[in-house]
Amino acid sequence: MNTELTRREETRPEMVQQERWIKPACDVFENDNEWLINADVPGCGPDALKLHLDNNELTIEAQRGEHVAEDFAGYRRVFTLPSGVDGNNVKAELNHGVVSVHLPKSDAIRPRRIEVTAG
Amino acid sequence: MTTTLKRLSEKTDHWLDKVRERLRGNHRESVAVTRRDAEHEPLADRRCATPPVDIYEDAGQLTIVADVPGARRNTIDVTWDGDHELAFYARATTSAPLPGTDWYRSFTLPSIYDGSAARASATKGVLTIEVPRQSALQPKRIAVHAGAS
Repeated sequence: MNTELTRREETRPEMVQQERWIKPACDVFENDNEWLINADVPGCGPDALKLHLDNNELTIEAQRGEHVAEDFAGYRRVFTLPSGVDGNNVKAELNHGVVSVHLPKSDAIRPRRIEVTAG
Repeated sequence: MTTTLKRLSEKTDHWLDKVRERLRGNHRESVAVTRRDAEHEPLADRRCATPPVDIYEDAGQLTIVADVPGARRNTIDVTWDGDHELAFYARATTSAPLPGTDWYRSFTLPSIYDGSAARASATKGVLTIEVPRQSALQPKRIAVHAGAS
């Protein structure tokens, strides 16, 4: 039995696939009722778009079909949202390569007028 | 040395005159473009940016693919100035709560391309412009005839 360790020459070094996710440019707006995030995802159709809300983390992921570099995996951006997002009523639309995510504020944190009663 | 510098400065002046003329909208076939790249001249309420582009060249045509998210087909103007310049201006359509970004970019094409025959299409916020070669300069297959025996 040959227990001698021999050195094997590397004939085919392993290629590690580099996956590049690009952060899409975003605009974030806020008013009394909701937060609005507009993310630029050109070339991505609704089927290639993934929106994920987990706890208070919003993930926007989108993939392009055509004209992509080999290592380009897609657009991806993660936002940590303030508490108070009404997760059940989050709505998103995709228009001409821009995805708009509407994050309504829950009642507890909406600004409200406080009535003053005569004392 | 001085003659070269003088010639260079004359060329630059001539080029600047052409740019000013174009911005004033005096060119026949171009739409007056009144905005410039936001790096140099930020605008009051609309932002104008230079979009990233990919340019492909094959035997028959030049293909320019520009990322213009937020612009739709009828808010994009693609112009050819009749000489060598191809340009596009894409207006943002997302209106609320603030206007989105407008996009502008121009290209000086080599003479082998016929800008007047350019075709443009837009989908999903991506503008694709295809510019064919001048018809006389299209690649041709040359037949091989039997030679004298």
